[in-house]
Amino acid sequence: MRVRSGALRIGAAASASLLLWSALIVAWLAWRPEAKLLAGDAAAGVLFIAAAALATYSAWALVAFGYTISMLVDIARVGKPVTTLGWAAAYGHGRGLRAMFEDRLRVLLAMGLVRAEGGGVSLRGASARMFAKFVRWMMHIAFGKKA
Amino acid sequence: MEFLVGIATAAIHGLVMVPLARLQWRVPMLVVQVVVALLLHATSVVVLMRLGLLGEYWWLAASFGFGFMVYLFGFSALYKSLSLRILVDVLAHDPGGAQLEGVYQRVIERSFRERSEILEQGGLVARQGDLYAATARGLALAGRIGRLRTVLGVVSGGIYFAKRAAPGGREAGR
Repeated sequence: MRVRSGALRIGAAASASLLLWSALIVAWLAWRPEAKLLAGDAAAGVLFIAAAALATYSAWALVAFGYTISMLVDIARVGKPVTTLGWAAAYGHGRGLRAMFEDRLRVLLAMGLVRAEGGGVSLRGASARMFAKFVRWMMHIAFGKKA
Repeated sequence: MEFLVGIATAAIHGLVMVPLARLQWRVPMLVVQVVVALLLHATSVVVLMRLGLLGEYWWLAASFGFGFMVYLFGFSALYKSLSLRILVDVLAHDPGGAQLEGVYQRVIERSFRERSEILEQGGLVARQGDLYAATARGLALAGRIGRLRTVLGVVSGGIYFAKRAAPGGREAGR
């Protein structure tokens, strides 16, 4: 069985790790019935697996979808000097920078945050507006004028 | 106690990074994040040991590691996510909404220019007049990334919904 989606793969790996961790705890208790199971050990194991899953997903996302990384891979793939326009056209294995824009927009559409109509895009409802304001506020706090 | 201190240290890390993230660094932001995290974690270990409160080290490490990764995940999204930048740009044109072409120019093209400068400054891409090309270092790194993508089965090339975006973008004809 081959799972294409990175998020699904890492989710499956994390779930398998949690199952294995649970099985190890059960096996340990069966082997040493007198041993006292520390709830802290069980919880620490779960946190450790969750942290590892987040780290793996972050690294995966960087390699698979990283903008700067993809720009480098695509200009190397072209194999000859290109203008900015040619470089933009080469993005995403030749899909082009506009395809990437539409792709990122599709993420927002799928999340129900924006609606696109007649060459324009607008926020979709009060909750989308609130979320966008929260993101802007967080960007301002995190990066100040760099945002 | 170890769990509380681990999560609290991760929260302190987030607060310490607020002023630090606004500065310009010669090293990547991720390196700054990790160095600060390690220093704070080491400090928490020393303080707990001095107070005689450190029982299980790995409880502290697991809780701090989890808190740090949650923070890093959110920080990375705010720092680099183009989807969130598009959302904030649309918010700036609320309630009327923004023209798609305008969003494309303000967010995507601007980021493209910024990142091409980063690649140029990093010696991975060289510019001669209006033309750009990967340097030997850039080609080597791109080759390694390409091999890693192959091993991981990544075929998206930086596109989430790769199946819906056929090769031969509209820029090609412009």
